[in-house]
Amino acid sequence: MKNFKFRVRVQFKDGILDPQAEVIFQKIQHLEFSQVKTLTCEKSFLLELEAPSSAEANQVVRRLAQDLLSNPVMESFEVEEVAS
Amino acid sequence: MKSRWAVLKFPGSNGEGDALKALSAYPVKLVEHWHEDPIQVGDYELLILPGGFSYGDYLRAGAIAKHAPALKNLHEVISEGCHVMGICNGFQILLEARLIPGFLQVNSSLKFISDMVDCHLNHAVEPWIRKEDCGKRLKLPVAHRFGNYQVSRVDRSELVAALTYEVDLNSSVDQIAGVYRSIGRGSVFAMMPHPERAAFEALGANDGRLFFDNAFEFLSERGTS
Repeated sequence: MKNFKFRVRVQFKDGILDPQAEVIFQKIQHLEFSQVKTLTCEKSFLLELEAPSSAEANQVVRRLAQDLLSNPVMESFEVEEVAS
Repeated sequence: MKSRWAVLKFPGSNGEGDALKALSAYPVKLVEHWHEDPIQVGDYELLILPGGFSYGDYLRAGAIAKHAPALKNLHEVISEGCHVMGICNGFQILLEARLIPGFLQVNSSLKFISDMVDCHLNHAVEPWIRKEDCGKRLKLPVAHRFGNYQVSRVDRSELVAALTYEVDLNSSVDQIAGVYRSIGRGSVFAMMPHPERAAFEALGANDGRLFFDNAFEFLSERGTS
């Protein structure tokens, strides 16, 4: 077994109301950072796990992201392996 | 044999006391069921998932609660004849558990809404709403920030919009306040208003009793109460 580290990023799908992002974006505009055109918020989870291979670890993390960390009805997720 | 009714309790639930009090008006065997104890087929004829903030609403409202041992066999338990009412956070848990399609997003006002609202009964749904109740208006309390229910047209085919708001409260699609789905011999009824907080005249609001009166009558007639 080897140790792996993965990051799961979860964000709302297009069209889902995200008041947190809206409020932060409004404040950015008030602070006169007019260069900023859009802003989205996302959740990030960092996981360390043991698995026989990177591919199997990836599968486990994806299942977890699908079953618990995200709600696929309104959120999408991305999984990436990060250096241990 | 007395009918067995239960109110499920999670860490962070806060509506279980009101629900138990409301249901205590009926001659049934009523219990508070702790989320760590599995529910088996035939344990209960009626189950309430109360309001509150299960697991502090961490991750997403209802997201952690859906993995509770008590909910593991819920689909089968319902299919075999259990009627489940999910109130507020209970609605969110039923969505996360995929027993009801769609999702609840933040109210369009971005505000927490705590108010008495007029709701409309649209359809007869067993055991909660009788045919003769359709068209009635109920005054029920709401207390939520995430009550803006959205569901795709496709997913709606198996749903009944049994309860709607009289006004556009939070931008829910078609002003839906509560949805019903029949599953096998049981059902789920998920709603944002709190009928258990409007169950006694002394509180100045008892319209919520209609659902529980009907459920008791229906289950009694069926011979299980």
